[in-house]
Amino acid sequence: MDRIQNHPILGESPVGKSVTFTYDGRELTGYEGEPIAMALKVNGIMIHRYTAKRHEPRGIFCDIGRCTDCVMVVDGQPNVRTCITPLRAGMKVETQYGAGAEPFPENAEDAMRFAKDERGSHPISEDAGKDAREEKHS
Amino acid sequence: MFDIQEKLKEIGPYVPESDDDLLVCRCEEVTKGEIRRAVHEGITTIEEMRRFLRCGMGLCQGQTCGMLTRRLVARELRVPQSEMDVATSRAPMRPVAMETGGRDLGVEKPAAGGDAE
Amino acid sequence: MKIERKEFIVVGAGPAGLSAAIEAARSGVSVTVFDENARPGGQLFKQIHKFFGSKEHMAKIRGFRIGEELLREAEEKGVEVVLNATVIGLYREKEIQVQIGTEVHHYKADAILIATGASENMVNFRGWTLPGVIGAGAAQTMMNLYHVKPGNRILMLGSGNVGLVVSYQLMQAGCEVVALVDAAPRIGGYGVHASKVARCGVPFYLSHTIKEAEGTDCVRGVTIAQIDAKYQFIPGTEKHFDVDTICVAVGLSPMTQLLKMDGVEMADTRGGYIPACDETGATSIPGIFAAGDVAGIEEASSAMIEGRMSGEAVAAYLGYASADEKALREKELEESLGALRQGMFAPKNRGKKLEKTDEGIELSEMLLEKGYIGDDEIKRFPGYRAEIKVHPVLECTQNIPCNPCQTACRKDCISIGDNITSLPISVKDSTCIDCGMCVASCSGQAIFLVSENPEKGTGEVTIPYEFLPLPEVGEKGYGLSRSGQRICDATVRRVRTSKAYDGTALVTIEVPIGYTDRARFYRKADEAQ
Repeated sequence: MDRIQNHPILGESPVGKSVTFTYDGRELTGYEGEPIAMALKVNGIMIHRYTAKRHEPRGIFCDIGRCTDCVMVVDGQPNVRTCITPLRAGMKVETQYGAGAEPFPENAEDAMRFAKDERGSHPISEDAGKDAREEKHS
Repeated sequence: MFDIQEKLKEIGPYVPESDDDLLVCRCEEVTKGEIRRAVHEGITTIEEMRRFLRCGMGLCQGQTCGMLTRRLVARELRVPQSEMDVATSRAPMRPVAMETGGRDLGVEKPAAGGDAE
Repeated sequence: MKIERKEFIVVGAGPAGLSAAIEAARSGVSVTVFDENARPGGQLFKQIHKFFGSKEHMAKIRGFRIGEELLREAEEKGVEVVLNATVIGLYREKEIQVQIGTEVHHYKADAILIATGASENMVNFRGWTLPGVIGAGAAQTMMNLYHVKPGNRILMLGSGNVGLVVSYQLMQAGCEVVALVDAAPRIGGYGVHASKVARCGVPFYLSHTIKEAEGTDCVRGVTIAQIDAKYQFIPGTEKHFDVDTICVAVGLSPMTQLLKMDGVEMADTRGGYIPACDETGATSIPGIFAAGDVAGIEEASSAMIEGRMSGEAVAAYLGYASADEKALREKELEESLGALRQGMFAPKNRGKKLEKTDEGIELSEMLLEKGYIGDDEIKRFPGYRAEIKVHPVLECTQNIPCNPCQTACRKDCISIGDNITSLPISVKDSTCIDCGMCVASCSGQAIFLVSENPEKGTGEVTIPYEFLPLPEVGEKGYGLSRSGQRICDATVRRVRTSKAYDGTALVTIEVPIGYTDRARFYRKADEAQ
């Protein structure tokens, strides 16, 4: 979705400092300090997670940190409310499947194909799992 | 309050509805049908419903579904919504990482802190 | 074990919390405000429309500017505002637990005010969990705080003031609103808010609700259908819209968890499940106060006065103000609050079906069902007057608490009187100087300047315009009716912007003489309707 350039009441929108982060291995850019969810939205990403039971897609819902529907795995930590967490350079943002970054079987193929297309190397699930484990030990 | 046995007789058996598969609790993925069925199994308070089905027990703590569940249970029990209890409120009011909860400065702790095991 | 002491803690830096903090600090109380957000002001910074009320309620000032003013005042009075500080528990003996960063802190205070505001209600329909179904508050956050469009094509569910105001704001942000839908048979919010949406061409579907949000990965469309008196869908009335976003604005609920947890007595009322408290917000537990939406859903204007009353009561409770001082200030604030709580939308009138205005004029049924006043209906209201030379037409037909138009006019062309909910009168034989101040001052964008030129066979209509790009002088387009239909050719004759108009541009269009009473919006010729 587009950023608003010029608004009849709010005037010209401020231009933030552009930073790079990864979303499921893909490099994207956003404004430093804006919520992760906004950076994803302007990059056209609607799905933040798949639910544990029904494996259904979810995205931004309340956008003020109350509903917890927009949670993702950020820098290895699951359940991060992306609508209120500021974007920092180099952040690793991953789709959350249930409570982790490991894709469900039906999503795995997509995730793998995607990871190969974008990075030409390892399936994303392996990396994500490894990082989460490392995080725990630190 | 009402007598549960009398109430269950009054409302009769659970009758499926076409939209019973609609989610009510988004976090724990509890459906309208599950909640309605539970009422007929004798779950008549919000507190019990939370423990029985986990609706309102997920990350958001019933922020979104609290009202929906209360309305639904009241309807199924054929009582005014005002007669339904509301969920008990407990800390933490927002999701807090276990690690952060462990750094509670208001709680007496061994000198070494959380790392000592 | 560490518990820090504070004198007065306020939970929530929104309009109520900040107002209370300012008021108490004014009496010398040392105040600390905790807010979970990264920026203070609560929802005020998402409110880009002009507020209602009278001057003392900061009427005709846009919400975010009121927020800036409150912050400035709080700073000046030495109020400590702690951000990114989430209050996660309230315990006996006025102890609170606050998450700041990755630590949990404990504080104790002599008095605590809970001003946590409200959370949005929801309805569940098929597909309501799909990405693209969002709360109206989410839409406001995205567009007004982060300058991101919530969607391209949007359907709004809910015709209360939130649904109406956000629909308009979505269009200001460059989104298309395809329809405004409500299960109720009548529009819930102010008629003037509905009219400014309707004249842009947005259709209203009352007694309708969402049957299904369509899509597998995210919202691709929506089907609505009419419902009967028992809220059952009427087969064959389905309508489909291609949309990428569905916005839900079906009311608010007080966020009372902290109060409940502390054991404050609660009550089920029309304003929601709220703490039982007196007019100063004092709850059943001495020293625990509640103000703003958490104590009953109302407008931000009322929340600010409630906050002031609580702040004053806390100052008295803590011994900073005498009983007399408190009583005096309380009376003043009560009168101010009382003025806002009058009229058709007053708390006491919630759920009632009114037929007539306070003046005894039959209400416009079209306005309540379709969002706009009928071309013939407008003539029975005192804001309408026919005249050849330029004069204001005030399409304000419901008793709402608002009077900036009266003071905006220096030539006494507009009269409301002392009661701010009375309908404005376009005063006969008064001399309008075409200054446009009334048009810009009307928070409901319901004032138009109208004149006729019989020799030329044309007339001019000046409309409030808050969209980009602004029309250009000489540009050709269409005059739109109150329902947003093209009804005549129009030429832009004048475009006025001014600091005094505060973001509202005044666009004067020339239309054929028969259309001055009907053309209420303008669209450029090559723009799709």
